[in-house]
Amino acid sequence: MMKTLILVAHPEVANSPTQQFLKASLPPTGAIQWHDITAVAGVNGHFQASAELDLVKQAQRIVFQFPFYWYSAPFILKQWQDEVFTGEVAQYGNLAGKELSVVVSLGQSLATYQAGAQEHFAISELLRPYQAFAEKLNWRYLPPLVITQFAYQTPAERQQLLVTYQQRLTLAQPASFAQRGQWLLAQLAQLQPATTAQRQQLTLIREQLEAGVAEYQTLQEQLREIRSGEQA
Amino acid sequence: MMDEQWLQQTLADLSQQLPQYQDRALLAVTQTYVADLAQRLVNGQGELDGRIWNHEQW
Repeated sequence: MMKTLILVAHPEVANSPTQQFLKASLPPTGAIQWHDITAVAGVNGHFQASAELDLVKQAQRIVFQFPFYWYSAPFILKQWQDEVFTGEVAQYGNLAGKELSVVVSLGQSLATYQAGAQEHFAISELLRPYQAFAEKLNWRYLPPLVITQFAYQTPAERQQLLVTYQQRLTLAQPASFAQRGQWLLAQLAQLQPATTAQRQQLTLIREQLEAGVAEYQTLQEQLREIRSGEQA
Repeated sequence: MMDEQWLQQTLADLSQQLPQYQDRALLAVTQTYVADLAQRLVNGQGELDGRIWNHEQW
């Protein structure tokens, strides 16, 4: 199972509705470590590089999770980078092949982050330093999960966010439509409804969904064959 | 063959009975996925029919 390390960079995790929602969204199973770096540095104001590097070593996917302050993460994340990665880049060759995923929350809508709009620059441009950090270490940079205006999200949007967040933590990337279906099936298999009737309902749901995903995959294979035949 | 209507109804029924927020979220997102899947199956089947009836290949 893939191990994921979430570096939470927020000055007040306990008072942040977004961070508390994400914390409550952590999947019940899975090798996921929630690492509040403000709390870790709180002891003497500094990070112990070897201990932090050990955590990174053990994880396959590293998540930088933070609110967007002045177009960047709160300073604690920069401090973590500066104090943990103090050596030459070559020294970290043993960490190559990991994945970096940014989970960032915004106070404005995503539409304001583009050329010509209020914030002028796209999120991809503003997050470039994290992408460069990943590139330098030979880590794969994954598309960021951008959470916009959490306070105004509808219940349906929050439910979607919960699942999207879980997928960022546990689903192999990039994931095809069918692979997302397989992921949902795996999660449904872990539900434990209280009554026998509910368990039977769940079994039927899984069978139906599994059949649908299988049908879709077969259809896609047939289409691929026909398309390649037409080109020949 | 997936029965979308039955699946949506059963997902909605079960969701109302589950006490955990995380579980209900999973079922809600599964409903969205099922709607998308059903549409993709229709599209895929349509494309397959269209390509099979390609006169240039006769």
